[in-house]
Amino acid sequence: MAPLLEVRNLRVDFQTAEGPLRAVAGVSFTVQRGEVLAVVGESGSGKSATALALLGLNGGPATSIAGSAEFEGAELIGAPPERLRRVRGAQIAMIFQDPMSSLNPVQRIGNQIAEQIRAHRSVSKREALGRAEDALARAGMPRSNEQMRAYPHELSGGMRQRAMIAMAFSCSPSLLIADEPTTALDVTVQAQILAELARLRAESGVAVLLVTHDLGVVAGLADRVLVMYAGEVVEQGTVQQIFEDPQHPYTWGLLGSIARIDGPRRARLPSIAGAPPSPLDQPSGCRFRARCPHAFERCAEPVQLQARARAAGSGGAAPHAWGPQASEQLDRCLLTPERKRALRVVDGEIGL
Amino acid sequence: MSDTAQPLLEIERLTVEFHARRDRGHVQRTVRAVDDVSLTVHSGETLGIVGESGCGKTTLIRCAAKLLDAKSGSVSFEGTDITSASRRGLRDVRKRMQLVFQDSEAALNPRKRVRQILATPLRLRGVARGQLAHETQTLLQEVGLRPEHGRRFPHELSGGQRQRVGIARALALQPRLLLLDEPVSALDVSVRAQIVNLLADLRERHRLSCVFVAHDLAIVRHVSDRIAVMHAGQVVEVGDAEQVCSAPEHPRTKALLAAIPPPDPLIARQQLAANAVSVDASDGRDGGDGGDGGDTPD
Repeated sequence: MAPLLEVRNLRVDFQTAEGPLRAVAGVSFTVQRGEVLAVVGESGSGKSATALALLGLNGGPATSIAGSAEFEGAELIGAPPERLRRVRGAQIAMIFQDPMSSLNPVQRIGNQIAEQIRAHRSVSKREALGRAEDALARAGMPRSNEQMRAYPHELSGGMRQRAMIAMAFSCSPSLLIADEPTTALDVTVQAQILAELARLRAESGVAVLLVTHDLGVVAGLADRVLVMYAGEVVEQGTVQQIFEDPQHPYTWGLLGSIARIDGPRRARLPSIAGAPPSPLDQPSGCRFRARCPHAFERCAEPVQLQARARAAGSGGAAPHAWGPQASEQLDRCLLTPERKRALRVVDGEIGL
Repeated sequence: MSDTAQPLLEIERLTVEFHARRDRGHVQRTVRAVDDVSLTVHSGETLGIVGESGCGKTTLIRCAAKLLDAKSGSVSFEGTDITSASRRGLRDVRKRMQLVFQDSEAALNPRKRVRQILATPLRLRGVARGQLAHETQTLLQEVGLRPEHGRRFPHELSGGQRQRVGIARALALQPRLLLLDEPVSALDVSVRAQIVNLLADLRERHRLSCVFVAHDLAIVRHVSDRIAVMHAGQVVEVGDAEQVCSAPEHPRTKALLAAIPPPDPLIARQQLAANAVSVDASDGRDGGDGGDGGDTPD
């Protein structure tokens, strides 16, 4: 079956005073129906730029978006605004990090949800309000009929995010883009919202593109993971592959930085030294090599995203041209899989 | 941990109230954000304070720094009661007790360069004009920034770098106690680990004592010697960090532990399913205003 979303060689450039800046440098991935794909990386890795570009939300005179993104067989990149408006909210819904700035502060929650429903479905106002209330109840909003009349500032952060989720699900989308949905929330509320998302996904069968910097959030929700660094995908695989046999040192770093409640207590947490390179001045070869503790001379060579993990014998024995094989684990690190396993253990940062 | 008899910071039966006016009906409502809290911080020790938003943890340390007035109770620092200290009297205390805030963007003056931000506390410490440049460089280096960062404005720095400036500003006065209010909550996981490590180094180098406030027990566990768990304005559990995390006694501590997403796909899935069931039961509390100091204990 054709994938729900197929993104090929997506590039996003911003014109800045200091010159052109490539935020997303050729990203390809697919999302199957009902699948949760997590896009993980630090700030500035291009994960949000990727998600926003799909809906043309980071458009503007200084932005150019190139490449292809086919959603249910129709091209999104470069689609006329009128068509994108029909897709946004109805077929592809979004949840953002900060629900306070995404909700209209001077409109009651119920009206905002009803407005979205009426933008996509020809129903009466009363009918739309009824559906809005159902949506709120389904998103786990307590006393949903009362909260219909609440303004965003009257709700707590967790409740606002529930209102956003209700809005996102109100038109039964087939794809939900969740951009850091729990980053602004505290851990207990985060756990509730994640559980809510997992439940709604199971009930509605919606596919989710989950953008986050926190691999801990990914573990329970995602089917597959895309690890991004400096505008490129450095590794992708199923959630099991990423957590149990991560191939790229950057992924090791991300996994290692999760503060754990089990395991030894230590004053120093494993961390990734340094900061991502300036997008105006990307190094050749592996973009992570300046921060990588295991970099060697070959890291300056251009590296392709390839299936390396299961290649027997020496690294790259079975170089695989990039293709949309969903279950394949691909990475951009030239070390041999055996060497990676050895280094990972020495690092002591991967606990699985 | 220290064996000195006198604690560095001693909070005794502290209560802080806010008066909120309900918009409908003009009923004055009193919110007791901190309710009869007693805590001590010994010299060289790091005390972690955890709790959900609205539990009063920020109010507590703001009151400890005398940025807020208490309704009753007392705060003693180095043996002197500062609860009723004058502004002038507080000047000396504040040199030895510094704060680092969660939102580094809001905490730094957007119109001053980093070196100007650091120069003010350095001058207050009595650093001579001719020495300022040198001392600023030392401070920047200490928090892992490069000399050229001194010329930047806060908006020209990343979130992690800004938080380093916030820490440098606090260190400029050579304090004995650092009060850290959610210093890493707004940061990426990888940067979070860097800042936690920086704090660990600084603590050791300067024999600093810290109060580390956060909502995430997983982080607090790694940085603290002892942990106090707060709920609805009260401390519900306090003890050795490892003890609190491995053998929690209070249900709120257990809830905080259960909320941490486990970094293992299989366990995480089971936990999500379990959380989905328990969501309705715990929802009552989340109806407040979301601000710090919200939930009233009825």
